[in-house]
Amino acid sequence: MAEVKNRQKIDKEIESPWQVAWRHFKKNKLGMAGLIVLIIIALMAIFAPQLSPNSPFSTNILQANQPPGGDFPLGTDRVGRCILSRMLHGARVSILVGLISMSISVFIGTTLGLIAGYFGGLTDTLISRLIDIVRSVPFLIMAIIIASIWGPGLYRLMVLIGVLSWTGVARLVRGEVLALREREFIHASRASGANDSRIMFKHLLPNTFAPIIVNATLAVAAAILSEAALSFLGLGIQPPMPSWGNMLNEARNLVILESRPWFWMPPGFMIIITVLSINFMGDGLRDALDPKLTR
Amino acid sequence: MHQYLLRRILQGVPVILIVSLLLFIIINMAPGDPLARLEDPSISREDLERRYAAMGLDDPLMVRYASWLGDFVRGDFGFSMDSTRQPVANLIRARIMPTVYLTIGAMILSFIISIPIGILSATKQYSVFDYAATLFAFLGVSIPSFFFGLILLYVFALQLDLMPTGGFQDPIAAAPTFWTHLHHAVLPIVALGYARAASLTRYMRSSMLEVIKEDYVRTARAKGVKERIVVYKHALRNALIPVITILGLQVPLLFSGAVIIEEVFSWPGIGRLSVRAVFQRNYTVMMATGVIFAILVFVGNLIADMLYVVVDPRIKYD
Repeated sequence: MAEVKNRQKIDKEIESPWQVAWRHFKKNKLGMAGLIVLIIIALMAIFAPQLSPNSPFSTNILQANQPPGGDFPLGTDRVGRCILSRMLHGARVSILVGLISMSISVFIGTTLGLIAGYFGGLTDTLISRLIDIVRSVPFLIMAIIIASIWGPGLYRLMVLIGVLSWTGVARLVRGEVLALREREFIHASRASGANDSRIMFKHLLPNTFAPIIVNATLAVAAAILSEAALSFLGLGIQPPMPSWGNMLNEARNLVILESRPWFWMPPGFMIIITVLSINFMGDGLRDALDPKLTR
Repeated sequence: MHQYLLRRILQGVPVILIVSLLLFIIINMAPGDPLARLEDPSISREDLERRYAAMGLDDPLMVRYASWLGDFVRGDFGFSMDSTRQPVANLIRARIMPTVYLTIGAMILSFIISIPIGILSATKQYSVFDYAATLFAFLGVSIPSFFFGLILLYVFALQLDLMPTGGFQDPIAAAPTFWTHLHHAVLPIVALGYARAASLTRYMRSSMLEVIKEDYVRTARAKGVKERIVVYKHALRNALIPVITILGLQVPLLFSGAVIIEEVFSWPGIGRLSVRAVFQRNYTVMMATGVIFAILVFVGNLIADMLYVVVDPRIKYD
């Protein structure tokens, strides 16, 4: 009886790796600040319909181009739509694109990296060459060419960004798996009869989670920037659907750039705040999840 | 060295070939009948089809690709599919230098900024300067380069009227000089270079922090070498090596950034050319600029590898 109690006590004292990571992450001020800001932005995006003072779609030519103030805290755009409401709804689109594009790229990258690293040989050569090929054309060039052929759209944009940004994760996972493949615990599980898929998914993959999580966090930031760039050029999210990128598209007109800064400054600063917070959080996670760091 | 160069080129050529084939397939998936709008609208359907057949457009995809490739390696990139019908090779020849100028300028600027900041950050770790530098670096990788460009335009060109709003030279200036070009280039180079400078600063700092802990640095200090010489002579050369390897990875990012910065600053480079081509559905120009960018990335990587040998005498390619 006493032994069982002792056992429970020890179990309680042993922290899981996630608890250790969280304990270290909490100490990172910039990482925590990033997390808190991101939670606020996420809440703003989720409750955009409740928080918006006006409809993000309803146009009113009589109230077009109004500077901030009155019924429109951040002013109105060329067709009289409320900038604040569009910015709040734009957060939904930009963050959604960031998260889904990241999921696609991390899924492709992890799968191909795992296969390349585990099987090696010809498979590895083929996947590595594929990575070289994708990396050899600048992202934005490939993206605008494909976007123009496919046509614009929310889902196409997510797939496009995901399909063009997996090479970083793939290289990372491949490298990790190459290093892990010859370790004793892998030999042991093979000796005890585990098949390839069990070794790959039960033994190798969990050991690459830490760097994948860090990379996935930073991939969300990169995808938000990609969406902004493509929508800014007019090849991403199409109006009337608001996104931070396509709100910035207005600033390509020098007259608007000069005389109506309320058109383009709010979405621009939202992108900076969001991406900066994600990067701070990613950096905090990198430190918290790195087992090699002395603590 | 020569052998290594030759091997790298032999490895790079198939990659560029496959990229061009993929681009060719993607562009051929374009819907509609892109050539019809170049013809007289009154032309009959039969005549149009006869002309397509004469041009070889009914051939299988691979045959058409082979003929495109044959022309491309001979420097014939086809005709621009807009009203001007200029040879695409001429368009690219006129616009490649501004892009190279912009990207090399941004690269040099990012080095000039990031190396001293990285060194100071590392030698004064956890100082106020180090925190400011960290913030500078995080901001640089978080701000969309085109938005930074817009802010620069807004402040320095529109509000303070110190800089031109775009272009490569003054339209009225009789003879553009180095200085008029530079005057136009300052804002785009800063806009493009900041993100690169920011990420290089992070690499420089962590690389320097690692090198400073090495035994030979402690030895140098122990035998009484001045701190300045320890940092700038013993440590710096070794700290630069990993930073140079990062350079190769930065090349595609640099060209990606150039595409959008050229658009913001009306910079007459191939990035802007390709954006225009995409909107005009100018397929011959899209195809040529895509492949030219792949070649530029390859050349950029090659140069980064050469620099690697210069800073690290331990590396010998044979």
